[in-house]
Amino acid sequence: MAASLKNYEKKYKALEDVVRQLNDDDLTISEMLTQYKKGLTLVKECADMLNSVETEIQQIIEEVRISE
Amino acid sequence: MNVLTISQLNSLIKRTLEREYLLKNLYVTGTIINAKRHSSGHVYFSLKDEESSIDVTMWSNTVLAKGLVNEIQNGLLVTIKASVNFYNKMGRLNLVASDMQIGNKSPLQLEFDALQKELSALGYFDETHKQMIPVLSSCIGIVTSPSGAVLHDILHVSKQRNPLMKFKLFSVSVQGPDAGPIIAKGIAEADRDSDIDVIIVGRGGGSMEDLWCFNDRAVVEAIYTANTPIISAVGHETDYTLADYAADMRGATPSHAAEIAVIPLTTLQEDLKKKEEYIHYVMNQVLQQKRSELSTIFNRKLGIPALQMIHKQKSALENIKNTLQHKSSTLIQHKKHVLSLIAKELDMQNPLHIMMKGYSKVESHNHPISSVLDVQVGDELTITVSDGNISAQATGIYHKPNDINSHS
Repeated sequence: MAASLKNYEKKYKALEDVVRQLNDDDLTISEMLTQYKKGLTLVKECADMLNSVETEIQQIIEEVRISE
Repeated sequence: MNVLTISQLNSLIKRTLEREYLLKNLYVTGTIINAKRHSSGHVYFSLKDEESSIDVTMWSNTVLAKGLVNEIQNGLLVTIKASVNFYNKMGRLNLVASDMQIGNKSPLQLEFDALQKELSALGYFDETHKQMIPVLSSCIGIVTSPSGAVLHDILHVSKQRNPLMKFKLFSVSVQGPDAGPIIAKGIAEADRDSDIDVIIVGRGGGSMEDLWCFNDRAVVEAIYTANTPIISAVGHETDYTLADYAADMRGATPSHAAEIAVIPLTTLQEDLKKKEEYIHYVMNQVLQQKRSELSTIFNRKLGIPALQMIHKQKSALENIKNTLQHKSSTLIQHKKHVLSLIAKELDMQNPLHIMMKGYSKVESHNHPISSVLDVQVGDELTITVSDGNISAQATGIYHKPNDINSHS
C-alpha cells in the first residue's frame, strides 16, 4: 500500500501541472485536448487508487468489529 | 407523620414494653447503690455494673416475705428476679423486684471466671491462634465417650453429608474428677495421628458440674497446643466451657460440630462450579472490555481518520476534475468566440454582399473589367449580379474627362 500511495502523490502532482497548463490562454486546441485527456486519465487513476485504499480500510474496520 | 401527646407516647411505650415477655421475670445481677427504705416499708435502690445502672423498686410485702429487711445494703453484689415497669406519669422506667439472692455466682462459676481470666491472659483463647477447619477432610478424630448419643449424632450427620468420610474414635470418659486429663490425653493422641484432618471433642448435655471436666486446664492446654484443627461440642447450645473458648470452632451441639466438620459433597461441587462460572464471567468481562476499548481506539484513532483522509483526498480530486473541465470548456468557448469573430469579418468581405446593394461584376473574355480602356465598342460583356449573370454588348465608351491620372 505504501508504494501505491507514493505513486498517488506523483500522479496528483502531475494532475496539478495539467490544471496549471490549462490556465494558459495561448494553448493550442490540440495541446489543450492532449492536456485534458491526460488530466481525466490521471483523475480516474487517482480515484481508483483512493477507492481501493478506502475499501481496504473498511475491510480492516469490519475485521476488527467481527473479532469482538 | 403523626404528632403524639406525651400521654399517648408514654402509654405507647408502656404497652410496647408490657408486650415483651423477655422483660418479665428476668434475672439481673449487679451491685446495689443508692438504697433507700421508705417509711411505708418499700425499698428503692439502683443496680449497676461497670458501665450502666437501672432503678429498682421492691415493695414492702416482698421485702417482708423474702426476709430482706436488713439485707439490702449499698455495695452488695446481688441477683434479683424482676420485671421491667414503666411509669406513664413520669415517663420513667424501673425494675420491680420479686426476689433477691445475695451474691450472684456459684463457687464453680467463680472458679470458672478465675481460670478463664488466667488462661485468657496466656493467650489460650486468642482468635489469632485459631486454625481454619479444612473444607474437605478425609478422616475425623472423635474424642468422646463411646456410650453417649454424641458419637451416634456425629456419625449420622457426617455420613449423610459425605459417605466417604472416615472416623477414628478416641474413647475417653467425659465426667468425673479424673476425666479432664484423660480427655487431654485423647486429644493429644488424636493430634498425633497423621490420618486425622480434624478433631471433634465433646459430650452431651448436663449440669455445670457434669460439664466441668471441659473446663480443666489440661483439656484447654491440649486443645491449644494441638496442630490439628479442633471443633468443640460440649453440652447444649447455652453451655459454654473453656474448651469451647479454646477450640478453633465451637459446635453448639454434636450434630452442629459434625456439620462444621463435614461439608456436603454436593455443596463442594456446587461451590466449585460457581467459582468456575465466576472465573469465566470475570474473564469474559475483562476480555469484552478490552476488546471494546481496542475497537474504540482503533476506530477513533485509526479507522475514522484514515477514512476522513481518503474522503478529503477524494473531494480534492473532484475539485481538480471540475477545474479541469471548466478550464477546457472555457478555452474552447474562447476559441469559438475568436473563430466566430473572424468568420463574421470574412463574411463582410463576401462580394455577394456588394452585389446585393446593386453593384455587379463585369467581365469580358473572362477578364474582369475595371477601366474603360479594357473594353472596345462591340465587345461581348458578362455581368454577374447577386443571383445570376447577364450577357450584354458594349455600345459606347465614355471617358471620365476629369480622370487625368488614369492616362498619365
